[in-house]
Amino acid sequence: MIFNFQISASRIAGFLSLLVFSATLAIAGISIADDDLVFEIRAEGGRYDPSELQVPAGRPFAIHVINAETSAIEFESFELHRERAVQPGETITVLIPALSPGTYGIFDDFHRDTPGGSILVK
Amino acid sequence: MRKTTIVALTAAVALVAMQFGRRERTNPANRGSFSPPASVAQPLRRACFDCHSNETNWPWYSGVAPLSWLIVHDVDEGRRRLNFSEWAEYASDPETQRYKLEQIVRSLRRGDMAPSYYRLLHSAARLTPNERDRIVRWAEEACPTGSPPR
Repeated sequence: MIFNFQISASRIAGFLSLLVFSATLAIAGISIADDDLVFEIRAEGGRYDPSELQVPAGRPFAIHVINAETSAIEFESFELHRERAVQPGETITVLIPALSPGTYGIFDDFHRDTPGGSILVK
Repeated sequence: MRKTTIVALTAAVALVAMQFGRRERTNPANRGSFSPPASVAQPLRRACFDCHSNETNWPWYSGVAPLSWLIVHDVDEGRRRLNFSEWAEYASDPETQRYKLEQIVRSLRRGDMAPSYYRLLHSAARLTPNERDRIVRWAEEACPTGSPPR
């Protein structure tokens, strides 16, 4: 029996990207499995939405930070030791290890005059 | 009472009062494994660790207000921005680690760090060109993914 199938270039690129991303996570010692938590924070109109993100304690998670502004932002949190520039229109993924209950501040370091936000861990 | 005496007494009283508003000088526990090669660790430790680690050497005058306010503020801010004692925290997000390394490269290439006023008072914080190049090379090679920082 002969199987004929076509693999598009975009599928190959997507598969390779996933391989590289997974290898990077493995090296970092963090894995995002199918059942891991992923949240979204959108930067738009000079603020983060949601301004307070609630996440469960004791579980690693990822945040997709979407920059819907017209200029670059710097997603930063001193408490979480996270700092990433996000270009306009770009979405980045920030990996966070399991956290203890508490409130962890986030802000845009490129626009310190804008209100920040927080991640509430319960 | 002469005017100069009054001024001097007022200043002395103010200086004493300021000591009751001293900010706490801390050295929290190290929370990460930061182990660059010795040729990089040595100049980093000498020039950068007082503000960018939990291993600050607090000189005697750092406990005297109002100077202590400035020094503690600089150390607190330095630690918030970059803390080598908490490097493992950055490393748990490879792209954050990469971003921090890029910032180190940029700051050293532009001559932003250590701040000029700090280098004036602390000769040990001055990096030789060779030391600067070594740290930049290390930071570029240590980037976890993709091409070296710009």
